[in-house]
Amino acid sequence: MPQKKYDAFKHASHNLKAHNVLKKAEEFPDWEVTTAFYSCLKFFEGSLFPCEYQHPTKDEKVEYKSYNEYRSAFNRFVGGNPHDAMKFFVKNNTDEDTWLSYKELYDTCHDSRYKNYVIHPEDLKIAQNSLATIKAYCIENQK
Amino acid sequence: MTNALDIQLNLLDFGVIGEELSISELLHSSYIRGREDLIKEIEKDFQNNLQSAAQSSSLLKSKLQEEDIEVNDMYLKVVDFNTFKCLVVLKEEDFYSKDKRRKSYVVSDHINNTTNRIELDFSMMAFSDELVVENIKSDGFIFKYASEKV
Repeated sequence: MPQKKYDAFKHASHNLKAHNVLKKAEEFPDWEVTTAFYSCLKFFEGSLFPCEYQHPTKDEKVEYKSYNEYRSAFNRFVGGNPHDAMKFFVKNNTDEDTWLSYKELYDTCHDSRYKNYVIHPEDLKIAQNSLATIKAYCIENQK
Repeated sequence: MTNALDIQLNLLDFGVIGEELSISELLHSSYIRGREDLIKEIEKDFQNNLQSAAQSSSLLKSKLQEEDIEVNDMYLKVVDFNTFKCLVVLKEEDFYSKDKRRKSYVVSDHINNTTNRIELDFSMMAFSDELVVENIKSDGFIFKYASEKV
């Protein structure tokens, strides 16, 4: 049987659905933040490709069929962990509000480990607002 | 007189007058000496990179102070030879003010963009009574701003 084609936008919607279930439950703010973050990752992947983007190091625009193609180029020419590739992409290929929303969400999600995953209500608001901004940007700029 | 080692090394007009060492013995001694010099050079470069990361982090603190944004603590982590991460703990009310938080990110981006020598990623969070320094240390942040042990 042929492998089903991966649809990152569908995956984003799936993650968003999980986020909304957790939000409604009001019991798992740490997982709300995590699912907000993974929804955004997949919104970027599923909405902003295929498209031409600036090559990570060369002074030229290149057509990338998928985020995986972009990440391969990043890994080859810049290097770093998978999150570094997405940060680089968002910073260099979206607008300032989207980039700062993503950075805020990334830090809120990542740094919660330093507080034993105790999520302050304001951190949760940051995550929710970031998700709303990023989702709106991705839908508006869908390729 | 040409001996067996002269022929083996094939150094044209040069012949052996000292200790007769095989090519692998020569390589071994020069590699050991060369490696020590190289390590010293790399250590110096790394120290400069680390100092650059510390200077940029201090610069961020003073730039934020000018914007009336208070930094409670800063921690520094080595990711690799020229990549570093700085965890910036802001005063709770400053971090939760969207304007001040955004300003902090913009200033940190600007500092990062003007530092060519290294990659320095600033991560921001609010100060909290829940903050566990052991968790920060275990994640690799081995330097703390204004720590007495430095």
